[in-house]
Amino acid sequence: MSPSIQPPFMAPETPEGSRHAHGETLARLLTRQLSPLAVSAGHWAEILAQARAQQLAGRLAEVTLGTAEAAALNPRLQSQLRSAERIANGHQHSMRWELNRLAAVFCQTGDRPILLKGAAYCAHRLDVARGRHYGDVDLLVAEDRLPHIETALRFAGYAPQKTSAYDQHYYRTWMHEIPPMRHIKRGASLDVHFRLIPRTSRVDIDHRPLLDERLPARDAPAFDVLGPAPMLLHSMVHLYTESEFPQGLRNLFDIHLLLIEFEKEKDFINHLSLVARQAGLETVLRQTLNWRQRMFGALSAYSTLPTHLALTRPQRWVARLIETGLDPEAAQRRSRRRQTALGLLYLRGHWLRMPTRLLAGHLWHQAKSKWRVKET
Amino acid sequence: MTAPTLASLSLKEIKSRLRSSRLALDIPPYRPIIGCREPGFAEALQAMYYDYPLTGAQGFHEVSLEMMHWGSVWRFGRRQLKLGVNGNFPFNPLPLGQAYPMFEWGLNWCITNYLHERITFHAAGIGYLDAENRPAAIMLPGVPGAGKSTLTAAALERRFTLLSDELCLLSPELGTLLPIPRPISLKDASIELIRARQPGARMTSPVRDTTKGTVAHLQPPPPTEIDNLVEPVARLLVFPRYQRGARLACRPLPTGQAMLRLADQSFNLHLHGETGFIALVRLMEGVRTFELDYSDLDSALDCLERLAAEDPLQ
Repeated sequence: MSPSIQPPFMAPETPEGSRHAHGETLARLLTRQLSPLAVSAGHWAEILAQARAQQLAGRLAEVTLGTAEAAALNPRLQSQLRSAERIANGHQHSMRWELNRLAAVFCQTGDRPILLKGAAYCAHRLDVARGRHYGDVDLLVAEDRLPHIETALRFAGYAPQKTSAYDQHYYRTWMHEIPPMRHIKRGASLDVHFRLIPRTSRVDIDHRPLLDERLPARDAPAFDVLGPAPMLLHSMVHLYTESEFPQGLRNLFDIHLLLIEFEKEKDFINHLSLVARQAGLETVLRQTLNWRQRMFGALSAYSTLPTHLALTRPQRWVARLIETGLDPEAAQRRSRRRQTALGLLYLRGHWLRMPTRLLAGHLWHQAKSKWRVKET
Repeated sequence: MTAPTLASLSLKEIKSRLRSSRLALDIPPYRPIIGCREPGFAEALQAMYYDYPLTGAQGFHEVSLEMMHWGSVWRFGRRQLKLGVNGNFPFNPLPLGQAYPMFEWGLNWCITNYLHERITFHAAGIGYLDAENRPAAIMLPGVPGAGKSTLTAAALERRFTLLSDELCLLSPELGTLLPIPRPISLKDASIELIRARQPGARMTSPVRDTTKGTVAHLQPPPPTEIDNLVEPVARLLVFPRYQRGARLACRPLPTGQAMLRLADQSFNLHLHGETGFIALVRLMEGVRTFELDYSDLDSALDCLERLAAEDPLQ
């Protein structure tokens, strides 16, 4: 990967009213607010471990190794970072190949799916894709095309996972996707969505403004991606309604990077607010920007955004839960406070996504199936 | 070598450092920090790594391994051990008493997961000096059960040195293998077999009922020049296959086949792209490749020695 133009290390800003989370060292390294040489050798080992847990090791490597300071780092650390970079490159490679294979399938069916999340970042050659790890391929198709597409995918070697009757019902009827599919040979995981967010969600949005701006992906012409503002808002809604946060910091960091890249376009900030208003996502926008600010520090371009409007007390409370739950250092220490925060966020996420009468039944079902598998 | 070794610490001091996760050793390719409170672990560690240098507990330790109790909150549940790797827990817990094998497996996992500057192969490696006194090596790739660990342990009785009983690390730039001398893991019947052959050698007490059967570790020869390990070039690629009662058979293997079989045993070739492929090709151009079926260790070792001696001058 060729090194990009590296900005000088910025002086950290401490916006009024924001508390710095403990995991700030990792956040500040990633956003180049801290020089890698300012971190002690012992601390670096922890940082690297946190980054790995958050799937951010590739990005950390990319940010750190490109600088002039890199040569002065501990050689063993440099070696670990280079290996992490290599792993991220492997992810890029696999994602591109998977998109290549999927393009062949959709050429046959005649559809132009919209790529979402990581797949979109990769296919559209966005900055957020650099050093990124990928999990599933997410794509959005028209609901009436679903049976046709499902068949075509099965013929192409994608086998459905989670085939219990309950799971099928849960995913299809109440979520916004068919149960995940997995390629039998390549092992790649595929999520086919037919709505941007769940049908029953309490976050009631109007989809049309989000789908209006679709454009062809730069590196995968068989697919479309969402426009910049919708892409950002989609990522925000996802984080906002999430119930589990295994890579919470990473997802918030994605939002941070998308913001930085898109705000280079003239008037993006106003456009973002407009689309948010049209789609009914203003409160989501305001809160996720606040969370982003707490974790990664504010940058002056966003002072016009409604982020500095006071959050309501419940919203401030949720913001603190997010801060604790997403803190990578708390994760490393296995703090009980974090576990509690995550538990509450789990309930909140489900509450946001499902009406009450379904919620109790669903949570009971989840609890039953998790009882046997005592996990970390 | 001026650094103090583990031998300079008393068992009591070792246990104390392990309890507070402050014991750091130089175990190529890493300098892990180790923490464990299980009884018996300190003794096993002392026996196996007696001659390995200590390193300071400060500094950059890319690997920290902690064998911790799990399930202590649920007092009525079975207590188990969990392996913490740098604060994360990638594995399912294991029964108490398996702390030492867990440590060794954990270290291997850290190599295959975090070390990608080299191409890692699931293969044993033994070193020797060729006719011109240059460092050379035999790679012994194999699926589990092929007997490569036992063969490796026995090879040390002859004039072979230990590169690894499990992982060969090939440098794509230099084409050499990095020695990672560590205790050799022996399973089931091999334990008694090697004990009979090497009565003076130190071994950990066998641990039963692991996922790999009964496991014990054999102390490696003292690592000389650990700061400056000599990296040999592989000259022989031998695919061993232990079969009870089989007659010794050493068959040349076509290079193409050998290359594909070796690639099959690689953990991270796919991360090295074209460079990796070329490195593999260059490796194959420099090795002679064989299949070795055996049931008697000594005959197999005679065969390996013969192959090493027959090495045509380059």
